[in-house]
Amino acid sequence: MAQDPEELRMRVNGCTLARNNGRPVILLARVETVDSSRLSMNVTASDKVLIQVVLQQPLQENVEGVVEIHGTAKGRQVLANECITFPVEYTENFDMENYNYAINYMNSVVGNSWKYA
Amino acid sequence: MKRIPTGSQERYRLLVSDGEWSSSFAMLATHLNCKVTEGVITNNCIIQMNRYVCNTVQGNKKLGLNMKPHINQTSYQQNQPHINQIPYQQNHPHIYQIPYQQNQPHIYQIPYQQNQPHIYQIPYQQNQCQVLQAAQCQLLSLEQASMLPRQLLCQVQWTVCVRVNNKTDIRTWSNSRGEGKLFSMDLIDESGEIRATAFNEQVDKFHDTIELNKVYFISSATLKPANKQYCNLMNDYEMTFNKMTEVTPCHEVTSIPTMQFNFVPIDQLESLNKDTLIDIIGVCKEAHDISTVIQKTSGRELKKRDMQLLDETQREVRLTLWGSQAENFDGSQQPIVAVKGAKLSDFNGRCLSTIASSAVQINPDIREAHKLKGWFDNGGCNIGTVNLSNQRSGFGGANDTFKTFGEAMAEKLGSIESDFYKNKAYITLIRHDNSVYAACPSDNCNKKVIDLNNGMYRCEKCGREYDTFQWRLMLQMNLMDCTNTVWATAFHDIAEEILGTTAENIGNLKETDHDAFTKFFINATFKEYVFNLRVKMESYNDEGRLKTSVNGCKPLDLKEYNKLLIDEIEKLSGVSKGEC
Repeated sequence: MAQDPEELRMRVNGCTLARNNGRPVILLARVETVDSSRLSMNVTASDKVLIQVVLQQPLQENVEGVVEIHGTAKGRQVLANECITFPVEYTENFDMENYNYAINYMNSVVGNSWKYA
Repeated sequence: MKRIPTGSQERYRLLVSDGEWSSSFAMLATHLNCKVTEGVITNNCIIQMNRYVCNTVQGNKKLGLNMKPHINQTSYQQNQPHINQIPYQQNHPHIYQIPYQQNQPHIYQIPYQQNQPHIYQIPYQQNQCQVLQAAQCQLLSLEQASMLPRQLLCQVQWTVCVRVNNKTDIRTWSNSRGEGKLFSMDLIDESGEIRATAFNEQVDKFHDTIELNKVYFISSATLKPANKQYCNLMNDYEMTFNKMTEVTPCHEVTSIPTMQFNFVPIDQLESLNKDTLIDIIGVCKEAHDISTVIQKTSGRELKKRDMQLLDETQREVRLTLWGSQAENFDGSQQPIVAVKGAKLSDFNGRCLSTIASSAVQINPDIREAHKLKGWFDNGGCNIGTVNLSNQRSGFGGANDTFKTFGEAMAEKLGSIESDFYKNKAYITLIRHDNSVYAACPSDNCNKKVIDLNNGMYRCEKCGREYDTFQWRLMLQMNLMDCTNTVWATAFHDIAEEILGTTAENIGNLKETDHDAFTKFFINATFKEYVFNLRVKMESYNDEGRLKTSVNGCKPLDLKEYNKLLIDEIEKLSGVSKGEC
């Protein structure tokens, strides 16, 4: 289930998700609703775009607050390989606005070596 | 030519003739007296008078005052000295023309008219002339006014037509001879500039009515030699308003120049010497809030406002305005700011400050301002810039810039005088030994006391013995960032904050429970803080050593630090937040 740590993964928000279609991505987002099947959930990305996350296995634990999804971009969805949760005290103060800025920045700077060619 | 004794200064009176008309009341300007002593002006020589003034004094006695004869035919000795019938300007035998700045349409021409030989008319624009005739006064240029003999200025009603180039706030003085108030103005016309000062009643009368950059007729002020200590204008005299002084606004279009700037582009500031007075124009990219500082010499509280000026060279520099200029400034609309006579300093790189004689204009109606505004509005506002004043916004205030330890060492901070900087760093180690000491209990002494082993403690500084002492902390800490480490000293209050306990507790634990004591030191390490540091070269046993002390510290605020990093990235990449 865990991904190859050497694999290139682009951090995305709602806006840049589509540009990375089919590629491994990391989506840090706030959990809105979890499907009763526990196999998908709706999350709000850092740019306040609603994204559906499809999980391979049902969620074992209760998820809330900020999560980090490692997976593959597929249209408006992310197929999750891994869902990382954080302790609430870490995430309640999370600066989503500046995180979003960083995402936009990484995706806009010319010659960014962390970006896919 | 006749020498006339007029008090201390010698003057020459000339008999001049153009072949048809002659005047025996021509006075030579005193600064040209040397021409006589040098023998350039002698009897029967021909002179060309480039500038002169005619005045009527004592009833109908006429007095022509040669202001500035330009001798272009020096010492042309006529062979027949009694035949003066050589019309010098054959085309205009009856008119003394003043060929000074002939291309300027508003020159003060004073034609000596044939049919009215005794009336000197000044056709300085028809309608103004009426004003002047009504006032029955002589319109002079500043240069002429400054050259007139003193006695004459008292007798003659004279007027100058000038633009107010700079106006100071009202200042007050108080000394053994009393107190009062004053304000001064810089006045200009085509011929020159002069400082004018108004005192007490004249302050009440004129301060509110005289507006910057407007043109006025000013009559009957007192002229006196200028005190160069207070005035850097190019004039040996200055004007003082008196009871007789009248100021009338001039509503006509004149050719009197507006404030003349000689702007220095910001990127050239680094090549100029400190304390140079320069003219600067820039967009006020950012204006800080007003703040107050206490002047060291007088203890007065001064108001100041810092702002960042940006120009087309993509350089920024900090400008400080003082007093009412600071209070009245509104930087919210990012106006164009032009300053005449700002002082350059090398504090924190390069920065500019207004001084008493500086003139500040907001959004001036001049070509450079419009050009700059156009550049700024069409993309200049988003261009990455280099800040010559080395000040970063957002994180902390002025005077403390963020630097890594590596940068601080590379820049040799502290090697000449105390330098201050900020850094985000970890505490990696705190020395336990000598971290706490018994100090004098009296206020503000804090000197280490000597235990006399009889229940008394002696303070050498106070020269007293006490039956008690207080614990004080002095921590030697090793601070580390990604570039280097430094040893820094943190004193009492800051040390208590870092250790998370009181000095008293530490002092007691040191003697009773050494394990608990060391635990505080270990727990305090590997925490990240933003430190305000002071670095200074101090000598121990004739050996120089850089000493770093902690002036303040606070736990790292990630959000705030994030902002700083974003600003840095934007500056380096030239991409701003809005563009992503």
